Amino acid sequence: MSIKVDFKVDKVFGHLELQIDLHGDEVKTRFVSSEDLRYFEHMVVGRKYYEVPYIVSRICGACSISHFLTSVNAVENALNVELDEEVITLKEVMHKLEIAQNTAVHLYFLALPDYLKVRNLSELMSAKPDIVKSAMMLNSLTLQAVNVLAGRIVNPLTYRVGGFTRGIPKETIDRVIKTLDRAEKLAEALSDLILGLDLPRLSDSELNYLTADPPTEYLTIGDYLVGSDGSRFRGMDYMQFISEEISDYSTTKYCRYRGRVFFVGPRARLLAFGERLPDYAGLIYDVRKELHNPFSNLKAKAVELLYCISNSKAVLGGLKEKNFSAPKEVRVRRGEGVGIMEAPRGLLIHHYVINDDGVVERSNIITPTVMFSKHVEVAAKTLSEELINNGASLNEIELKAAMLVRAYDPCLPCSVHLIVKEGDSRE
Amino acid sequence: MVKLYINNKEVQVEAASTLLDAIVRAGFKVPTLCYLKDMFNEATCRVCIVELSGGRLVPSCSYPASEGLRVLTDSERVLKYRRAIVEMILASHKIKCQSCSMKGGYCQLLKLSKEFGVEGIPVCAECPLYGSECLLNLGIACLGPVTIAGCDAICTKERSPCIGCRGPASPDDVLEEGIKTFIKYKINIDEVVGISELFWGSNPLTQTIRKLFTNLHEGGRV
Ligand code: SF4
Ligand code: SF4
Repeated sequence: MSIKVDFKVDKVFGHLELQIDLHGDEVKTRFVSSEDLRYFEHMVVGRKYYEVPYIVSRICGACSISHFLTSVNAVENALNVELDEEVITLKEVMHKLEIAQNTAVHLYFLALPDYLKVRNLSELMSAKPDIVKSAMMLNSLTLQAVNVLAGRIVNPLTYRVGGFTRGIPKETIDRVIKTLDRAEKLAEALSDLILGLDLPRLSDSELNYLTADPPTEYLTIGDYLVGSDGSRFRGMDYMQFISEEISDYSTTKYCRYRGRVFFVGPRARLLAFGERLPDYAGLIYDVRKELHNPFSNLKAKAVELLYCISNSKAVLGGLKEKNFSAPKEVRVRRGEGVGIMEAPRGLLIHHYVINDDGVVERSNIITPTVMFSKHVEVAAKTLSEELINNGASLNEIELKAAMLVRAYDPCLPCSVHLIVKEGDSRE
Repeated sequence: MVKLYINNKEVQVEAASTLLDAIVRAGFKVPTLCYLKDMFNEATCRVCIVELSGGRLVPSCSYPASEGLRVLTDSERVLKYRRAIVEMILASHKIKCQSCSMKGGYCQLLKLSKEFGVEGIPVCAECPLYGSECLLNLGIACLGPVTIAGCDAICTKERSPCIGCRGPASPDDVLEEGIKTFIKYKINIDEVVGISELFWGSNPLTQTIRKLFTNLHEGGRV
């Protein structure tokens, strides 16, 4: 028997093709990105340390804050900048709000249409106008909150290496909290919707994950990584554990963790640290039972959406009287630094070597999509094997496989600035 | 009282009124720069021009309202000439936005230049940071003095430096004034050029900046 299903996956960020080939008994799957290379890692070489976050935040319009902050962390680590507790806390809030906004958009506009049996947003609009309305509202409320903290909704302006550029008046914080109150209600409705979904059943054959270790609670900024195999290591040592490969069929790179295919993202975060979350009426307990299924990434996201909004509110509430002074004076020196953060789609690593003049000499960036792309292939293989055995039609294989990819929420344009061609001067 | 028509709308004003009075009475707007009510209506800037029914363009701040006159405030011709007027004003205007007291959103010329898409005013004009607060004063290479205004200076409003994303303010005298500012604040020109390359790429103006700097610095004209 021979089956070939090659198709472009819609409702993902960027251009992605999934290829499923059955030859004899063996199914082969390929995660093929046809995005053009973007060379961000090369662009930052030769630039001053303080310019780098501004440059790399442009890698992604959806998660610019994550790229910005990860880069800031890497630079601050390299230059040994010690930050005040509140500065770190506010960074975390900014980051959590971005996760909330990204999650809302992904769940509503990219994931939900599949389950409501519509093909796209315009069909969703005619079928369920109320859902689209609350989606728009939730998006705009979370963006409003981001806007206050970051100075605009993409590419933050309120932070320079060393700290925040200005304080936030108490009234503004109160306003953000009010905005988040409204967002919380909508988020609850969305989570209910997502948590009630009947996901396609699939058992992960490679249940290996990697995630940043939050020093406290959940999604806080730290220096360590933890893997599903129980190992815990410094972000600085990531190269000993994570290997990057180039494929001949796609412009994205692929990663392995200790030689094994792995995934990152909300599901990994919940598997590793889910017990630290407040259990919203037993809901986390239910979701965690399903986490062996790659599709459950959606439910993990729904939980995180609730957490990010309610936690940001609480933290901001605690900040009320505080104001931030100007950024710390940065002493330029030679150094090497790695920043690790959990971007909305999973682990993000930025790594820079800075010379005596504060100029970046080398850089490496690994995005979540690069880390989990191999895992998508493996999961799609398992899925299509099951479907083929059950005699599913080609259409059904295509639909289910696309749903699987969308559960991971890949971001292709972010993933393609990493290839080093042969003969490249970089080591 | 005289009766006249502003953009085809009938309006009555007292006999000694100007067209501008009639336009305001009729609920329309024309921009003005030099005009100051009851104090100055010499029509020197001429941005308040309007079109009479015969096609004549006249400055509304000083032209008398008369019976039956038909006036257009924003016909195609008016807009075309008004734009040219803004361009000319800007060309002869000494750009010193960095230290101007009308900066931070008060500059009327900036408003007009934005409205008509005439470039030449730098971000500093929109920036609310003055004197000791100016990022240059903190030793931060802010590209505000040499970048086109129009973004409401959102970066410097948040106290982050301008990195020139809107492109260079091109007239040479604007760049020159900007570079004098960098020199005054002892900003390293290599940093300025380096940052400018981010968004301006290989635009020859990045090299113009360096050339101007060398001339100004070594020519001792600062
Ligand atoms: S901070 Fe920048 S934009 Fe503002 S006045 Fe100073 S140089 Fe100009
Ligand atoms: S970087 Fe761009 S948006 Fe920011 S102040 Fe400069 S021109 Fe305006």
